[in-house]
Amino acid sequence: MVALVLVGATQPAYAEGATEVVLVKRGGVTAYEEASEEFSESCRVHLRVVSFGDEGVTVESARLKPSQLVVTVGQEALDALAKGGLQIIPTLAFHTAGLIGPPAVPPADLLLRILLTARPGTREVVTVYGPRSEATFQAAHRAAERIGISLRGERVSSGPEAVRKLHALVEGPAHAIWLPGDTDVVTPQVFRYALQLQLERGLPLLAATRQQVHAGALLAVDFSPRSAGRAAAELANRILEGQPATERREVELHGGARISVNAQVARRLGINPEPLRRLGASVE
Amino acid sequence: MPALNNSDDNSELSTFEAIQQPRRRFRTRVFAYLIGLTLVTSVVSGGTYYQRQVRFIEKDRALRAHTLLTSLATQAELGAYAGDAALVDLPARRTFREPDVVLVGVYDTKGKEILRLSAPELGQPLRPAWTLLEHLAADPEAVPGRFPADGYEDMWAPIVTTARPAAVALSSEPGGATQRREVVGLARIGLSLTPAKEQLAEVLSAGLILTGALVVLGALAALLIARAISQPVLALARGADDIRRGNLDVRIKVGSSDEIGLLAESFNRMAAQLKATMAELASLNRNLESEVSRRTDEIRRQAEFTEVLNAPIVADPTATLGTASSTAQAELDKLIYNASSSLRAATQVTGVGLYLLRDDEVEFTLGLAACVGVEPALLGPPPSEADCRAGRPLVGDGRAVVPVLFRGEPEGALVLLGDSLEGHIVEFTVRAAGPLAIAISNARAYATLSHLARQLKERNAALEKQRDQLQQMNRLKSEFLANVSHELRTPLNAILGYAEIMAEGVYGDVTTEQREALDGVNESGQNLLTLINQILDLSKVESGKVEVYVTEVMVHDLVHSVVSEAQALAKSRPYKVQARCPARVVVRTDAAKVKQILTNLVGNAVKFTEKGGVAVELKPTAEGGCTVAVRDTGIGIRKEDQHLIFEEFRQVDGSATRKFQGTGLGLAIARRFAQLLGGTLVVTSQAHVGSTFTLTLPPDAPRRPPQPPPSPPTPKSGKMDAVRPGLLPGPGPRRTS
Repeated sequence: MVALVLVGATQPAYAEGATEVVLVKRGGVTAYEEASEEFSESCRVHLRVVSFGDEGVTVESARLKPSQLVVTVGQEALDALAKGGLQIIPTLAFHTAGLIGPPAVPPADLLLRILLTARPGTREVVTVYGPRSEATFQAAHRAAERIGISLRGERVSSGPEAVRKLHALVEGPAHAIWLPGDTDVVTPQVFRYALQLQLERGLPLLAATRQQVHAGALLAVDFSPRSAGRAAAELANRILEGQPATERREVELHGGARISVNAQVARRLGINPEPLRRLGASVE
Repeated sequence: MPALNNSDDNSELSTFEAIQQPRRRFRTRVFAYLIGLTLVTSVVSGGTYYQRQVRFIEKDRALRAHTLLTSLATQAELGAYAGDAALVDLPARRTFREPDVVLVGVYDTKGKEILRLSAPELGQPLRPAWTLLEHLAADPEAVPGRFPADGYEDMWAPIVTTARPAAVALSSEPGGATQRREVVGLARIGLSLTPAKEQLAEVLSAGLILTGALVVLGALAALLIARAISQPVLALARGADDIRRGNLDVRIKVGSSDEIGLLAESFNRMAAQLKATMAELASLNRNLESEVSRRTDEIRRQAEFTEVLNAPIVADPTATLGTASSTAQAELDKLIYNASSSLRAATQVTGVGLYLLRDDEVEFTLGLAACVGVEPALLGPPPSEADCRAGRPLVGDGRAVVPVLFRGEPEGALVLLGDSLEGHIVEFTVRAAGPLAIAISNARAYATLSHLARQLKERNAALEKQRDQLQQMNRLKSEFLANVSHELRTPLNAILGYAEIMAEGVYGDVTTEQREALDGVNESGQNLLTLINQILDLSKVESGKVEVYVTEVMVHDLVHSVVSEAQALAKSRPYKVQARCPARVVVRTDAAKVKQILTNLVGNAVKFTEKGGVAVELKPTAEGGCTVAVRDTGIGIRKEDQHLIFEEFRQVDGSATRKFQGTGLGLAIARRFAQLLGGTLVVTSQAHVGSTFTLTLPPDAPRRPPQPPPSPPTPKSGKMDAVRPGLLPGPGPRRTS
């Protein structure tokens, strides 16, 4: 189990003296609710929670002020508020420059090693990624080279393009498909097409969240939302105690990464889940 | 039995023969009805079947098209989402392999074609205008569009993707509530109409075959049913025809127990009943002829008997009162004898005796009036009153007693003697007793009437003789009165003339006492002269010597004149006599007599009215005549005295100390004059209130020549009332002028 993850920016943008914390999230999302609950329990100051729906959220609609410490849960809330001049701690999202928060995805080499554990003969892995997840792809690509796997990826800008590129990638040599947690390009239709490929061509699908495993993907490696919430709360507590921003670069995820395996899909693909179970995977 | 042996039947077409004619055959009609019904039912059933099949095929085709289109849209979702023909190629080809699919296409939301597969015979298929498809690309819930094309149906439907937001899908469990539906493209299929048309043709063929089969089967069934119905009916018709020809022994044999069998059974029972009834009718006919013969003979004998009773009774015109009674009795005896003889002849009995109630007996006693055929002693004792009043015949031991009643009262009794007194003999006698009682009563009444007529004739002769004597006496009286009045008036005028000359002082001065004495002489003389004049008038009226001179009379002027003259009489009264007349009332009458009547009435009114007033009112009548009413507020007349005032020499107060003087002739003469002029004079009055005398005159008075003197009063005797009461003096008060 991975114990620590460090993610951060070199120039934290937090002002001194913030006394109020506002948590902003989309309502009705399981992972976000869990992270919010954990943050609420761990945060030492008064907390205001703002939930939004399909109408989205703005600085005005959430009545946010620069003096407040804002915790965003999910990519959608971070993208909406990132340019509002607020003190933000991002959670469960790819970070914007200058912000410090719990990491969104586990280390890439960890993902690939777990894939090899599940299907040791895997040599060709295909993927699509967007601008936001390009850094993650590059890190994964380097890790793949280190462990002898060819990771072929296509940079796309939309869901339909992702489908077309994915269709083209699997026409070549491919042993598995990896979909990063980039909601800009990995739309539900892309995920469904990946599931279709997994079913029709027997290509294991490495997804981004435990919820996607529950939806049909073979396996996923992610951070527990509760761990992310707790880590964000500790970071907020430190900021509220007036510690220098430079000393807050490392955020510890006490729960570590978690591995989820869909047992039914594993059986259909002929994969033995026992090695994964020994790694602490949750086989469901 | 005439009805069964009618010789005309042989020349007529029998019922059975009539129904044998093909056009009238019941079986033909039943068959026609049934085959018509079958034909209609078959056509309607076949048509309904075809319609239902057409709807079913159409619905099935629509359902299949919808299913194929929905399946294509579902399978092509990702291909349309990605805009990649390779991704939709597989589902498109899979759909295109369906035999009736001639066209498959997938398009993006702008209408750009991603993939299209079409049958070669379609060439380059046309697309509907984008305006017709645009709503499908915008609305995920839009109903698929159907567009007719050449030989196929072009159907379009939106390709809809259903997904939650990416963030939700990434971090939430599957099956969350937040879902989005959006159109990512359009699916199109062309479904050929050929299979449907082939199916319809098959259905039509099957329907026609089915209808034909139904018609054939229906015809066979109709034929069998018609025969099954008509044969028993024909059997019934034959049976009825046989009965009409007189064969009442015919019976119908129908082997079924249904309604037809029940009808045949009823028919057989009816034939048996008819046979029994005909036999009974023949028996009754024979009895009826015998009874008619007997009744005819009885009526004839009764007519003969009645003829005897109606024989005229001959009256003897020379008979006197002394001989009439015996003559009537002889007629009655003759009637009784003839009636008894006729009754015996009619009834053929041994003897007939007639007992009648005696007229001269106070008690109820019957006397033997006639005895025919046997000695009176053999009739036995006379019937009692109780036997007669019972009103019923008593029959027994060869003797029958039949009461003779007239208006319910016993007049006598008939006694019949015979060896066998049958019921019809007694009944005949009872019927004969009624007319016999009437005839006897008539004969008796005739005898009484004859006696009374003779009495009346003798009395009338005596009365006529008495009348002639009275008329002679009346003429002598009138002549006497006229002569005496004339002889009295001449010296009376001389007396009055001398008294007037003396009062004027021609023979020297006259003292006051002498003048008063002369005035008394003059007044008494005037009264006497008036009395004499009135007696003369009355004598003229009664002797018919009064003449009427009819001219046009201005009645209103006459009334004014009378009233003006009456003012002098009323000068000592506290009132003036009033006249109320319309402008002009003219009638043809005798002016002098009208004036004399009115002068008398007004003078009386003034005389008897000391206060109040006297008024004379003239009114025209609807017939063109007039009425003149003289009203006063004087002493009035009691109702019981009002009939006396118009009698001669009568006054209401007839005492020697009466207050008002007068002769008692004025009103009598006035009424006689009014009657002579064709009018009336009546009075209405109330004692102590006043009186009104009303003279009514016709528009034209009758012109009558002098009449002979009326008949003198005849002494009142018996029922003859020839006396005129007005001419007879009587007791009571008297009122006159």
